[in-house]
Parts: sequence; C-alpha cells; structure tokens
Amino acid sequence: MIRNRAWRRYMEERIVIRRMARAVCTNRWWRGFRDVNDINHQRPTIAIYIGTEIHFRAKTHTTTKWDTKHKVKYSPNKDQGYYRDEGNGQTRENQKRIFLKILKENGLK
Amino acid sequence: MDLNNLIPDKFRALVNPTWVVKGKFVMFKKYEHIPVCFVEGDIVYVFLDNRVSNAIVKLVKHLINIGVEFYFTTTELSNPKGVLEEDYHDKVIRHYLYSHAQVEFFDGFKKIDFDLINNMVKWTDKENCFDKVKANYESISKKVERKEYDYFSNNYSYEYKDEIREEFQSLYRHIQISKII
Repeated sequence: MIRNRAWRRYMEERIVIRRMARAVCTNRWWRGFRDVNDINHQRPTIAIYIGTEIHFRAKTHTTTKWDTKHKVKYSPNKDQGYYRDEGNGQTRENQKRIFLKILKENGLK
Repeated sequence: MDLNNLIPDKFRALVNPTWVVKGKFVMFKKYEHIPVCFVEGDIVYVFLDNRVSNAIVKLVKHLINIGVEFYFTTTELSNPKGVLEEDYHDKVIRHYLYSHAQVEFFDGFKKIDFDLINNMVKWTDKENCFDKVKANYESISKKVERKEYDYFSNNYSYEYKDEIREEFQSLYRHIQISKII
C-alpha cells in the first residue's frame, strides 16, 4: 500500500473520528451540547462536534509521549516502542537524517 | 430539478466522492455525510452550516452561476425531528443573522460578492414574516457586541472582530433598505 498524502489523511481522519467518538461517550451533560451553529443538542453525535473545540483538540493531539499517551500518531512507526528513539531506530526522522548524511558524503547536498 | 446539477461542476460524484446525493439531500462528506441542500418545488434551500462553510460558499457561487432561486435555512431542519411550526420563522431568521456574524461566512460571501442579508429579506417577504426580524436582530446584536473587561491591562476584549461588529451596528438599516428596494 502506498503511504502517500491521501493515506495519511485517511488515517488521521480515522483517529479524529475515534477520539470524537470517545467524546460522545464522555461529554454528556444534562444541559446538552452547543454546536458551532449555536444549536443545542441533548445527544450529540460525531458530526455535531465538527468545528468545535473538541474537534480541534482531536485533530492537534498527535504525539506518543507519556503525557499524551491517549494520542496515537498515525505514523507507521507508532508500534516501535514507547519513545520514538526506541526499537531498531527505523523511524522516519532517523532515516531522513541518515539519508541527508549520505547525500552530504557524496557531495549532493 | 436534478439534485446532481446542484453539485459544483468541479466536484461531481465521478471526480470527487465528497459530494453525493442521498435521498432528498445533497451531502458533503466531512467525517460523515453532512446535508448541504435540498429542493422544495423549484426553490433550493441551502443549510447554512458552519461545519462545512467552504462547501456552502462554493455551492452558493455555483447556484448564482446556474441562476436558480435559492434561500437558506437552519441546520435543525436536516434533523428528522424538525422544528416546531411556531418557531420555524424565528429560527431561520436567527440562523441567517447568526451566520452573518460568523467570520467564515462573512468573509466567504464577501469574496464571492453575495449579499446574505438581501437574501434573508427576500425570504421574509416570501414567507410574510418580516415583523420577526427586529427581535431576532436585537438578540443576535447583543451577542455580537458582547465584551469583556480585563482589569489588569485596562482593556476590553471582544469575541467577534471589529469589522463584523461595525457591520452589525448599521445592519438593521441595511435590512430596511433591502426591504424597500
């Protein structure tokens, strides 16, 4: 499978939906939820959260550090240990660093 | 009227699956399918939905180009629950004015040179409910001009930007002029 921009977008979308689905279960209040169109909803669904603070929070929380453990990055490297440096070091950042080093050695950069 | 014709040319279903026709609605996909417009008689009703503001602005531009009569409505009508008949006019007028205060629509419609308030006045003429505009205007105006005072910095902060607040100060005059014309 080609992991291009469309794939990354799809994966991010999937994760945002998952996070918003979690909010559907937890953010219930007797006064309801006021959406971005200023309409009150007693039982909000995922679509209701679009454009609200919950949606933007779900979009921006994308790290794998201990203080943000509920936020799973969409990267293919997400299974390689708790921190990004762990595992066999085959992270995107590391590979990029190695690649740049090779380029410099050969006088291409 | 064929609903497929209402989808902007660039986004027809074969090219882009984000715009689809489902049942009596044209829908735009953003995580889920969100209803964008429907047809009643020969008139197109567009949901002024801030969740998909870009799509709405593009749709309005397309509707102006194909020359169809269209009005806006509240997103509550996309819910099968609907709204109470006695609240219907108030809700739609309120939604028109509220959306006019939202920066996405305010800038978006300005960019395509479309007058939302004029459209609202036309709709109130059609539905014969212009008398309900003033009460709703006053309610939304209060919301738009809301300010908070910071004691330490001796400053006022506003939720809406200056341009929108200035527009709302003389908006009722604009509504009355649109009504006369």
